[in-house]
Amino acid sequence: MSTGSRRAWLMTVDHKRIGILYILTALVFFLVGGLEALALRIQLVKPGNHFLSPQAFNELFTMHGTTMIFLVAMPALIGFGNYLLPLMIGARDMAFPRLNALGYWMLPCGGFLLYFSFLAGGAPSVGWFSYAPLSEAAYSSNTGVDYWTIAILLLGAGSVAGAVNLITTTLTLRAPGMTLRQVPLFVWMMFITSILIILAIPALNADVVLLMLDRLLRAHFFVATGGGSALLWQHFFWAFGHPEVYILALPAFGMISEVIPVFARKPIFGYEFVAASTVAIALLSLGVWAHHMFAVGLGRPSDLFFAASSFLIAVPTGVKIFNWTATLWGGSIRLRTPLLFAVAFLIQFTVGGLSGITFAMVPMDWQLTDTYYLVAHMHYVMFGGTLFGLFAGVYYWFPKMTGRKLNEGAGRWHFWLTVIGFNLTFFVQHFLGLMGMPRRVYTYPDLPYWGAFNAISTVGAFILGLSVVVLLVNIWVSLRRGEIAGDNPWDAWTLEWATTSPPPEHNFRAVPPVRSRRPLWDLAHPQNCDPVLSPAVTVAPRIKPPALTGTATFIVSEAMFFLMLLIAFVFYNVSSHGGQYAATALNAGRSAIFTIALLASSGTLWLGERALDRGRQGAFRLWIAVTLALGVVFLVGQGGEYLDLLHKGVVINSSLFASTFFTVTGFHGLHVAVGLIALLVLAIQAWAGDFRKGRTDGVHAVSLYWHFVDAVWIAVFILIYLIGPHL
Amino acid sequence: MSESRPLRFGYLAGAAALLAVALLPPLSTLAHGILFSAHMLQHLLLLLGVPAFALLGFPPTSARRSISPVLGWAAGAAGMWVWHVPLFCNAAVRSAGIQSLQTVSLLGFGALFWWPLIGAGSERRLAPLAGVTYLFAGCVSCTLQGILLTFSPVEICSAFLNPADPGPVLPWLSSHWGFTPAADQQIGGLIMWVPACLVYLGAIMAQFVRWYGSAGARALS
Amino acid sequence: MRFSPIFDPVSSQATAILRVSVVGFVVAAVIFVGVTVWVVYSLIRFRARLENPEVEKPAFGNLKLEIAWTLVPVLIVIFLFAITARGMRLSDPPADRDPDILVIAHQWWWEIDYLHTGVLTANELHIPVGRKLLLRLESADVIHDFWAPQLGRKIDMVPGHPNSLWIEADRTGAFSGSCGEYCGTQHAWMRFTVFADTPDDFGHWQEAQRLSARVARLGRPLAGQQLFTQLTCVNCHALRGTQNVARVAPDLTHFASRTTLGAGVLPNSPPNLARWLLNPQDVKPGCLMPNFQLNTGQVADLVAYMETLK
Repeated sequence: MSTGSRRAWLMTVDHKRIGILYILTALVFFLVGGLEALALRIQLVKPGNHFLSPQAFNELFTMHGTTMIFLVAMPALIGFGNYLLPLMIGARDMAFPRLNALGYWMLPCGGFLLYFSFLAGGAPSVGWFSYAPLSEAAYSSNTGVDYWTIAILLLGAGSVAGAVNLITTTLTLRAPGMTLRQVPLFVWMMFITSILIILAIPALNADVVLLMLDRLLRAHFFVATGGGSALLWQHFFWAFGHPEVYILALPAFGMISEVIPVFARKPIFGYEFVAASTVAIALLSLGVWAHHMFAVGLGRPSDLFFAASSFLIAVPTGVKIFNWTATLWGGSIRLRTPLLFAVAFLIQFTVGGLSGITFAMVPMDWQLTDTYYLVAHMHYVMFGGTLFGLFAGVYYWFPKMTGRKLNEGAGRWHFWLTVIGFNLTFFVQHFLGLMGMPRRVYTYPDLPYWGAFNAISTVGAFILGLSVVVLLVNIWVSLRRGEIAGDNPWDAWTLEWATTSPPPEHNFRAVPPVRSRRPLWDLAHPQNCDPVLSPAVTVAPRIKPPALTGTATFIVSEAMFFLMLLIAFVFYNVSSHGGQYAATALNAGRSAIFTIALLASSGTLWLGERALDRGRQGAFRLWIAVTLALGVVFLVGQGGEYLDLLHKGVVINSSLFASTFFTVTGFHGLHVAVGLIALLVLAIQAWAGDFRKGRTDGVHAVSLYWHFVDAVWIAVFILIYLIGPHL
Repeated sequence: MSESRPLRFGYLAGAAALLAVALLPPLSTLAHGILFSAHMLQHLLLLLGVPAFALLGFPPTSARRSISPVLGWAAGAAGMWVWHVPLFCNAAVRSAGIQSLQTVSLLGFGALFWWPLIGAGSERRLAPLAGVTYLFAGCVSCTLQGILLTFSPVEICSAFLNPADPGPVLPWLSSHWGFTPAADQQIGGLIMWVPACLVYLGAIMAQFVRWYGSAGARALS
Repeated sequence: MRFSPIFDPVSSQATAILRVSVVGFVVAAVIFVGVTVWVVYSLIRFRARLENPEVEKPAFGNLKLEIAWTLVPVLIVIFLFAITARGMRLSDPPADRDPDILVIAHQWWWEIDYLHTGVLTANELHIPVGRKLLLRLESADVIHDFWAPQLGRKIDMVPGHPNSLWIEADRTGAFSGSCGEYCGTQHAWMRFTVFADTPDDFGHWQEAQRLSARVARLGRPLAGQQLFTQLTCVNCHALRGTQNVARVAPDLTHFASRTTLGAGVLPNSPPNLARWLLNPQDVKPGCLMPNFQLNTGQVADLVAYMETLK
């Protein structure tokens, strides 16, 4: 590769290159996380082993989990989404190519920061869910957890950026004739996944922000001795963590839903049910998190209700499994590598799902949670499920991405080694759990069979390691000498196969007409078309411009973040202790004055927009200047209030009221400041005459954001200033 | 609302049955100052159950006007929140008149909430995906309240603390299940949170049935 | 002990869990076999025989089938939910009186306080067979989890959030347990044993444990006893009956009556104790007891003294 083309990769905003960068980065971290896993398995090969020190073991399993989830599975799936989604809907690129590049670069930055902790005094050793108070400064005094929090925030921001982009692209850039009812299932599932990302990641961000404040500014959110609650960390974490399971599973479901039909030479069975059950899973996943906390002692009622809702997830998941199998039924099946991985996915994911049901049976959870049975369950979902789905996707779309097929024989070796290695490693772990082995132990007593089963598991892990080597060699060799793929090597039916392999930078010369769910089938079988689902369209339907859709999506995510912070405020202040502070410290009357300034600024901005829409540039410039001034008045007012509080000795760590107050209003103030900068940019553009050509999307997007920031303040004002003192 | 007459009568009968369950003993007795959780169940039946079935039983016309979804959503949220302000909640337990007002207002709020989805004429209803968003937003409001009730250390409705006439159920529950007022409020909150969300989820799935069903051609054979 | 402690319950609570578990495993196994057979049979039966044969009249779906395979799982989970609710009540009855024993988890050991008799011990819980005792579970630092699989459920020990658990055994024996929630460096060696004794044995044990620490009169034990105070051992360890009442580290009043060292890391024997005292960080790296750089003479004195603390 010449220097020029290397630079082109670094500077690229092309969704295909960014997709490949995501996938390659994920592959690198996959190797790192895999080596960490091998080190862990070596340590556990026999009782009382001394291969790793306890500290090293604990750091490695923390890094293994964090890496595999945040640096491997999510980026790999988002990478495939990035590469494929625009192609599958017949678009030229993502809606926001530059945002796409930004989202990607958060990934190597976050990964670098996380791994830099090894050099900065030790990696985090608190497990991937970083339970407080173990992750508090008192019990984890090195900087590992600090690097972890910063990395998680960066990676979360990158994921939200990617999700906003995927949602906007799906909503606004579909080819003429492709309604949302007939998008390929991979697109549908990436879309739903992205919605889950923007709803769930903010819970993690809020949690991590509170932990940072605890660690760096000595607040007491999660420290019981300061009145904080160790359980709130868990609630917030799993409010993210359980949807996260489906964020990782749904795209893999999508891949399977593309692969199985093509290799069974049949359309997917029950498209509508596969699609709608995805929504049911996504929505249910938002309301079941407390099943990760059955052992905590939340009380009988909450355990029962969460058991019920967790059981229910089995229903839409079962619907999916049945539809995939029914797609195989009556097909003309070609057992190529992609289908091999898809079928293994089907069976292994069923194992993971069934052991999941046993965890919803609360008494079983009370025995088996946090044992190796759980480790087995989780790996059957994440590895046997997600990763096998990803492998199916790699073999299926590699020809599209590179123009060459992966070698089929090597693919079969890779498949069988992976299946054998995976099941050997993890199936016996079910038994280790039943035998009483807790997870996350660096060594274990020499009890009957414990050593033998652990040794089997370690052997399996090495077979897995070998399988990865086979995959790497296959990729390496096939890239150079693989069979030339042609446009559509699998005779598939979705739009990405209607262009060259690899596709040109602009993706399509001409997008084929789309009337059904399988446009390329219709093209090849004009006498036997699929049921027509959309009327013939020649012009794209009028839809809202991407800027507005993107901003609205982003606002939903921001709203979730503030919602979590406000929940934390209520949680920490419904006690006389916090309430008295709110009552004595705040001056609602004075705050009402700068509140009015902020509310008025929404009105002036609205007037400005109206003026712009009517072509009155001068009035627009005036109104935007007034808006800016009012925004500044608000910030100055809030600054005055902070100074006043500091004067009274109320600082961020003086009480839980103060901690929550400064956190909520501080983040809101930050958003106001960002809004002001955006308004300032608009003002400069307005003075430069940029809006004369009627390109006002940006104005409407910024204005939407500004109204949102105002709306948040209304909630903050009512809750903290008006209700807070009476809590 | 449905095209077929028997189905419509079925819905109306369902509405009547749910109304009867909500307003007759044993639920009404328990909901009146004995069990907060029973009150919550009654609340949900009146707000989400009865109006939905009643509207489904309306004769079909395509012309009936819709209302603004913002208004509908606000009515749904008001139905959830207003009567759980401690002042109003206690007043409804103590005064029969206010309780009747509560019952009527819940039915009204519920009807307003469901109106954009099933009340309005078939041509004027919210589009299916807009309906999904509408219902999801409704679910967020009710989840928040559920979470608040479940985890709040404070009694939301103190009138349930010391019932004047506890009847036979409460002593039995406390002796056999270790039932406490705190557990009662938790269950109330969880009812509002989990089963109520399942109602929304079911309605969301119904929107998908409508959406896929209205495609140019039915893909199902 | 059999292959699996979960399958060898010794209490009504653990038996209730096992009953639920067996149902869970059987249902899961049946569904797994069903799906697998269906998938594999489809693959074999519908394997393409000719090159490039397309399925000309494919099924796009079937409403009745969809309804069926939605409803059947619903019925299955309703059944499982009923089993679960019943199992929860039987395996974890609500606490309805004051606790008998307070268990406080520390990084990385268990403090066990018999609230009615003043007995204070560590890492070994003695209970009389056939009598239900109520535990109150707390944590002194991070989140831990009390788990003795033969006796019943695991339950977290969360700072600021005390929990209760009934404990009983229907036969005598030593039943091992461990910390179930990752709690830092030495989570692996945070094990404990529950000894279910006959009522008589339990009574004797309790009487013996109530006594003050034995006072050494002469020789090495006496030298060890003096060292114990001089070397700041008493800043963390208590000896009941003396002025030394610190509860930072395990109470050593009846140290020699316990079976393990360091919450399970070594059997309690004089040579092992000597190893521990020479450098605890070598035996249990990361544990909160520092290396006091004792010489072998001091260690021998201390061992001699501590072996008298029956």
